[in-house]
Amino acid sequence: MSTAAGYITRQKRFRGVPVLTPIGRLVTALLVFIGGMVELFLATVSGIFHSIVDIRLGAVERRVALMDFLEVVRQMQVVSWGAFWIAIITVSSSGMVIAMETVQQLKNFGMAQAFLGGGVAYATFREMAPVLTAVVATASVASSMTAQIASMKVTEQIDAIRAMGVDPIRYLVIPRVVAMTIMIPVLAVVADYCGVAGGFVIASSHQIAISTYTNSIYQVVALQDFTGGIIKAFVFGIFISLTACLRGMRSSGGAAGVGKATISSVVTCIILIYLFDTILTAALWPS
Amino acid sequence: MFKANSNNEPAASGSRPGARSRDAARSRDAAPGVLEPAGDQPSETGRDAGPAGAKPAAPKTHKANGASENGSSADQSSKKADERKPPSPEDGAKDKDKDAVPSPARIEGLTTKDREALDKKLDQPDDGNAPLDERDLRMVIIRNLLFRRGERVILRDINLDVSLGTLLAVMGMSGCGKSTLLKLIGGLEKPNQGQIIIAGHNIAEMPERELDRQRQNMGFVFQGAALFDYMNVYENVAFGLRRHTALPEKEIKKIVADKLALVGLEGTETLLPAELSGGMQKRVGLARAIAAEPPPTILLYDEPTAGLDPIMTAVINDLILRVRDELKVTSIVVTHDMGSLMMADQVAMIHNGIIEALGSPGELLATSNPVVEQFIHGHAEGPIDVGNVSAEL
Repeated sequence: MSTAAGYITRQKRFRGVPVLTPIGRLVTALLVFIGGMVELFLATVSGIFHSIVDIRLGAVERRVALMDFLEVVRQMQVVSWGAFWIAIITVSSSGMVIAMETVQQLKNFGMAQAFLGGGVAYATFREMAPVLTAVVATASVASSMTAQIASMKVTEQIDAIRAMGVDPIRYLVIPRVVAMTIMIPVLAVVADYCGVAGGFVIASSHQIAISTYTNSIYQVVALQDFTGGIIKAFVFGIFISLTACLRGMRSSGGAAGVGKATISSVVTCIILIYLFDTILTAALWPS
Repeated sequence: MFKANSNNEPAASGSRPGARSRDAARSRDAAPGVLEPAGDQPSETGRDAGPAGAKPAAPKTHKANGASENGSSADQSSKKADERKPPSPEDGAKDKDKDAVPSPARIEGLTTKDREALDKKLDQPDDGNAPLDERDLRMVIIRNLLFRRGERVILRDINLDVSLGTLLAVMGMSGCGKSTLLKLIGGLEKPNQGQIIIAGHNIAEMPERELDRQRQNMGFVFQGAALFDYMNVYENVAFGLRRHTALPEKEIKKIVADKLALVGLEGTETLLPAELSGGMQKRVGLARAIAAEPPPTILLYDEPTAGLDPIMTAVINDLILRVRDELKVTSIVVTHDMGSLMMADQVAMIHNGIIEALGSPGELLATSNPVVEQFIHGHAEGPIDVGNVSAEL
């Protein structure tokens, strides 16, 4: 009897504090998101393939391909306007901070001359430039993409695109994905130089000559550190743009839905950036 | 549920379905066009019809009489469209030999076997070389449509035919599925079951790439116009022409100017949608929908007059009629506006997910179906449940 009463009491307590429901919802949401990303990625790749292959079909297809190419260029401009200066400032600052944090420690060991430049460049090429560029692009460009596509969704503009026989993936998603995939690595390369330059500003204040600084870079940093960072930026570009477009196309509920989609897009992108940063660091530079 | 108050004569074997329905019409006791509730009368075309599902028994489809007498096209289809007149009992004998037949689902007295045979004929693939038959005169054929959103059934047992060049108005309570039906016809949603045959092609099972090609023959005017807000009026109207044709920009400019002139918006090419009034946006939306080369064969309007003043409403209604007459398009209009309903060739009312009534505007106005009556006359009290609006504040 007391066992039965205890069992009933325990059931009531668990009924009042559901544990499995939010976990179940989270897992479901995660699976839905992953499924959507895979579907959108495959649709994007298929659309790019058809855009190229269909050129041979006729004048109409060639014209559409040209329009799509011009839209890619336009989106590349949008990405660069949105992220260029912020990326430069951010990564330059991070180069300076790395230099500031490490110069005194290296001096204590008498290694500032030999390793400061290399240390700043190593951290910048492998981590700071690709990750911070991606984060900055998320905040400025991806959020804007999501907001634009989401507002098109809630005002039926995407339905209007479909109603006119135009594939919204081809018209909206592909230019943005291609533009981000190209521009994030480009910005990361620019950011690499800016980060190293920022480190030099601090180095020069500690009487380290530029030749010493750059020699340190050549001694410490390998080519695969630089290329690995570009590969990271490339992967980030794909995921950021796909996430931004997916969140936008799945939004609903008017203006509130647009806001919700934008926040969700930024949060998801940042989580994905750091998740893939970890995975790619382990994969590109196994210890 | 409506059906004409008639004697359901059994189908004579070998006789044409079209002739049977016209014979049935001639034998009606009620005045032509007056609809009576089905009551307890059993009918193969009634709601309780067996496995075929609910098929509304209603008068045969009205053919368009708005087609121009000066049909310029030499082809057979436009000639036949021009020859169509509103049906009358006196035409029954003449109509007997015509190829055109109304929808099998709406022919009274047709046996299940004959209906299935006709349906099977309609399901045969169109190789493009088939002689003009009854299918060509029905631009939109919907059979046994079911659409669910999650667990909620939005539309069920929808059977509808829309003839070439006619204007069908769809009315119903807010949230009853009118816009959903329009999106299903436009291929923007996929039904859970059923067929949607547009000009001989079943779009319900078509892959998306092929559906894109089919949609190039349709125009869709959205409730909020859905103009692309980052493009000006010219770019909005030229959008479809640039994506689907190889016309030089000079030609596109001419077509855009013509379409804007048709809707009374000459000189607005450089304006952005945010700079236009609601009525102007709807007219640009209409111009965009018809700016195709060749022009669309079907136009779908989702509450084109919603939120507009009475004068602009009349302007939009006139434009819809003018576009139908000049471009010979089949038009389907979702609307609450009585003016739009009255100008239609036939009106369908959706209630509780099914087609509650289908007939000419006059027939629906004269009906004694309480659901239709409550809706048309705007009574708060009636069989349509609008919630407890009479509760004290």
